[in-house]
Amino acid sequence: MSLLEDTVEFAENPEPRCPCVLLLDTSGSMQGPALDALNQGLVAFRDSLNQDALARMRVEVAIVTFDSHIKVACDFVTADQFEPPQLTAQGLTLTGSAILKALDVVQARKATYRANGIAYYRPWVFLITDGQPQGEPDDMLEKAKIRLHQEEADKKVAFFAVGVEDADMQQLGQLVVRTPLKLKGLNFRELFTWLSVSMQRVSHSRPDEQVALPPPGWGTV
Amino acid sequence: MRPQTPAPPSGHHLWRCLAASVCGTSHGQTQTPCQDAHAFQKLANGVLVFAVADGAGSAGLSDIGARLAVATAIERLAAQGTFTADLAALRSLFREAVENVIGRLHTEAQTHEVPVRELATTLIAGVVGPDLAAVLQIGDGGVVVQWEDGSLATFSAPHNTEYVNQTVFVTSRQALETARFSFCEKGLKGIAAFTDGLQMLALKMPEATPHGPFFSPLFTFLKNETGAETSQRQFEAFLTSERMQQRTADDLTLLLAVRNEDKGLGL
Repeated sequence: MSLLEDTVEFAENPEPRCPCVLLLDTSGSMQGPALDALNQGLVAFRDSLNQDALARMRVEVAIVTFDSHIKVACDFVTADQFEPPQLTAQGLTLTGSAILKALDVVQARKATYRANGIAYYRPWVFLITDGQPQGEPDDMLEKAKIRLHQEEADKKVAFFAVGVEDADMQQLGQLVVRTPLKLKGLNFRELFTWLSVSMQRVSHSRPDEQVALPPPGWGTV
Repeated sequence: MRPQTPAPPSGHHLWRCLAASVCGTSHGQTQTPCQDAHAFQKLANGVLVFAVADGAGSAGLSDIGARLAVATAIERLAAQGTFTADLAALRSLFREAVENVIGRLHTEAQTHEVPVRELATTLIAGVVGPDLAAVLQIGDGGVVVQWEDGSLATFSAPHNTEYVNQTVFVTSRQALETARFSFCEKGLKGIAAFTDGLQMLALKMPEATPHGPFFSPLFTFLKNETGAETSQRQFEAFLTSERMQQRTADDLTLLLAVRNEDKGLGL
């Protein structure tokens, strides 16, 4: 008699997706060691995500960069397809417009998931900036703040902010809902390893699990 | 740790039933007890009552919550004894069963001096008799039935939430409002209840239609079983098989029941 496990076939459903937008400041002040460390951090992020079989298939990464322009440097791909771009830095810091763009990108991705019957986790946006918003109308930042607060309240997104070097932490704190962290030095590698481990935990999580994130050893409040 | 399920010798009852809850292997997570539970009881008049539950991964005592939920629900349904196709009466019976579960979880929470959410669990409870079936579901998981002609249908589907790691629990404030009640007034050949861990393997999403090659061999297996102990072993071996665990890291519960062939149906 054949084994039961040999006779039962499984439904082929797409893996649920765990979207993560990296919203990266590429303004002129990032030029030099900071940008180099950020680029290396992205490689570490890819490598770490790919060590986890489920995360490889479930975590989707997109990169939006902002300086004087907002650019989708990498549209959503699963971790196994993710090739970190080599970022360059120049220009101003359109933080407000960048936040709005990131929220748009998240919204569009959810629509794609729904249209294709793909289940998903709450998207994460991870903002990394080293300076003050600069080069956009004052109301843009306010608009971004209002929308971000609303979307956090509606659980549409989990938005994290990290300040690098001379970032204005107070202003950043007023902009986002979750307390921003200050990166210790240029420890991007540790930051992205942490982010990868956190995304792995989310991508493994069971229904209604409050995912316990590892302590962010790379940052301070 | 399965709750006691007193049953008359198999073959004497209208329903043949097989169930198991097995621990997931969710790697990258700390070792926790199996937070799934199930229970069933065969009643005198050809009725089977059953329940499956999936304790919340984030709740500390949800293994206890799931076990108490299935035991309490079964107890209330079994106490009813006879069931007629009176929709209002069935609804209020199931409502009472859920209220009993909620009450029991609150008492247990007090004993452990923890908030009741520490016992959070989903619940699927059902009754299947010679000519009716009724199921109440709170949270995810599902129930699939096999009709007389052998075709399959999703009888009770997972609750629709935006995110995949999000569901409703018996202990949630909105539990009774979001509870789904399903009923049919005809005979079934088979019924399967399962928790979230099997959802993606057993149903074609997002429509939540049953995956035939998953269920049909299982129903056939139970129908053709020759020895209860061997079947149980094989069934558990299937649920803990490497092939299964490659596809899901969650705790798994599957409860299957098929109708014994009886002359009345001319089968």
